[in-house]
Amino acid sequence: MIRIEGLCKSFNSLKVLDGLSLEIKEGETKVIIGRSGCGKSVLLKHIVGIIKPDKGSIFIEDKDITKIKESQLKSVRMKMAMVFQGGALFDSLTVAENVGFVLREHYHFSDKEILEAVKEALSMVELDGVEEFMPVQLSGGMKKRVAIARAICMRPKIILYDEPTTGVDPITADSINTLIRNLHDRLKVTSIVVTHDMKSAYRIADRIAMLYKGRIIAEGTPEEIQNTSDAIVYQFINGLSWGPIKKEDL
Amino acid sequence: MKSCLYFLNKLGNRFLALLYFIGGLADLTLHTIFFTFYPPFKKRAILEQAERIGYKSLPIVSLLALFIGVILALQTAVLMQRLGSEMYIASIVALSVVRELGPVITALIVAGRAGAAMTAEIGSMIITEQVDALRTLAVNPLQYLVVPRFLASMLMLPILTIYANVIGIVGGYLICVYKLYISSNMYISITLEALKFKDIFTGLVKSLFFGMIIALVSCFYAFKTEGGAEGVGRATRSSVVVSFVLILSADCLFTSIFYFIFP
Amino acid sequence: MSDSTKLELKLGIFVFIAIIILVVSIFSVGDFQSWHSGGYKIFIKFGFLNGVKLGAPVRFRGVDVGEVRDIDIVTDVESINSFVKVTCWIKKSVKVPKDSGVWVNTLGILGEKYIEIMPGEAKDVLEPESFIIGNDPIAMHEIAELTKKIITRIDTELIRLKTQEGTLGKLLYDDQLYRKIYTIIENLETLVLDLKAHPWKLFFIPKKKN
Repeated sequence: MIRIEGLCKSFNSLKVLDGLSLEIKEGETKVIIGRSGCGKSVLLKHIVGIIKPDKGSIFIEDKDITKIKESQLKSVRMKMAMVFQGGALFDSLTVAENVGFVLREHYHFSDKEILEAVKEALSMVELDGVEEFMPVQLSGGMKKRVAIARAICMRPKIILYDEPTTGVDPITADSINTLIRNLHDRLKVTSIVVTHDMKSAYRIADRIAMLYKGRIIAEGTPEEIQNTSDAIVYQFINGLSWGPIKKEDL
Repeated sequence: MKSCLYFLNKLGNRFLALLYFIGGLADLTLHTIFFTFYPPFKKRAILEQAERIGYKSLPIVSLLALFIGVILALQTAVLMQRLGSEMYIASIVALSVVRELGPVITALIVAGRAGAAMTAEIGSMIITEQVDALRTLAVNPLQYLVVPRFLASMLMLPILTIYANVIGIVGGYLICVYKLYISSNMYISITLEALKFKDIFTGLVKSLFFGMIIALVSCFYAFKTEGGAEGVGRATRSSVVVSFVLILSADCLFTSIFYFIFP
Repeated sequence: MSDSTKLELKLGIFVFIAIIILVVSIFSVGDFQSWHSGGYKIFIKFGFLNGVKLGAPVRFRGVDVGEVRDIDIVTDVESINSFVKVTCWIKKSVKVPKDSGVWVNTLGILGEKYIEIMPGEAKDVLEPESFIIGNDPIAMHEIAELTKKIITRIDTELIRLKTQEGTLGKLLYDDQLYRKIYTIIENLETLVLDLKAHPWKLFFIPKKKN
């Protein structure tokens, strides 16, 4: 479904991605773990085509999105939805307008049809009666749910989550994990989740990949990762401050 | 020697930055104009922006235009009374307001008010990833955010300028009629006689371009925002300063074109 | 009323008023009337124009009736003689007689030049697109030249007076002449007194000496 080959990206001489290769199969939930600032979000933005790589290619259903033009990118983007870290809801629009945004922009549905689709999406993320709220009136966890609702309203084949459990309390985090898992089962979407929350990673992952120094250094099922013999991975998943990873390494 | 090299290096960097700025702004301009004619058209967004840029700027534009008219009349009155020809005050006020001050003052107010708001709004959308979200939702941020502002600003500036012109002339009228006791009819007839169609027309054309400058510069700096709330502040400051500089230099250029090359 | 239509109404009023102001002002400013009502062009031939500008007013009997639309210098290729051809636009209602006088005149303190037409006596009207000869304004340098000439003349005359040349000079400065005249007047006075005392002397005819 998604194949990434030799991806390189630098920002002002700082190498963020350095020859990263990764494959994601259809219908699987891949969790990418790594330290904060190691380039996980950058990787996601490459996959949705917001950032162009310096080198390397990304194939989505055998189409290299790094080579095609911006205008053709639209059809690729319609297959993907991204849930941003802070939700990235549009401040000037109500929750309902946010969730139904894609339907309004790209399709010719009537207001009633859109409202129904919005209600359905919101009930899927277990939110009701918030349609007329503005994003500033919502709590962090609610914002994330609305963002997920906005993503599923697109009927995407791939959903990308950028740190879905960061910044919410453990109970909300767990409910979001459950939600991601349920959506995956119900909608049969391919999911890529970027996180550094190991608890969440074990809950939702089919496979886990670890990003370190711009490359994938380990990949496997949650069990395989848990029983790893790699010192770096061991240090990270157990959250130890001593080991091969120094404070300044990303 | 070392400080000389340092200086040259700095100068080179400044020049390079200027070239990047011109290139970036030109790129934004061309894309914006392209997307202006590219469906879907955001009628509702354009109207909303038109309200913010035009309608809501009217009170402050009117107030300042009135002051400008009053000041102009008082200043010229001092000189003209010495020459014993107060009649010329009307034509001086009318011509300076319609040709120069009306369009320029309006543009500066809108740049400071609506332009800064545009930069701050889009800038904070950038740092909260809302613009990235737009792109993942397969919506072109240029088309969704810049084009409505561009169109609204371009169309509203001439409208505001019309109001500013009239109110500026009314300011001059108040001084001349109630302070210098020039007859009301005479003031009006001299004003109308002094004004030419060309003066009104060139003033409005100028304000059209000022509108484009405001929207494009504000959006340009908004899209360059990085680094949190402080970055938004920085971007807003740059956008206002650069808008002011570009408006006045464009005015200089237009005035020289309209009154020297095509007299 | 929904928010959306309220917004449209507000903007509609805002833009509508502005457009009305614009239209009214365009129709009432100085030069629109001239576009609106018809007129015709005449050409005025000047040898010297003294800096009349494009758009300068044209006055007929002191009333603004048109403006200068074009100023060309027409040169005859063979003789290299040239003249200034001024194209003036004049309101249709104004009829300019063929023998009218045309001058360049100065207006107000700022020295704005305009073209003054004073009608003549002729019954024929100047046709559109036809020529009329203008009276050249006197250039500053010509005035200066003339003044200089006059002053030189006066000066030489004054010198001649001083040097007691010519009758007037002698009259003014020659004491001898004065004394002679004085004697003559004195003699005349005695004569008159004598005559008054002895009127018969008038009729007295001295005998011819044979």
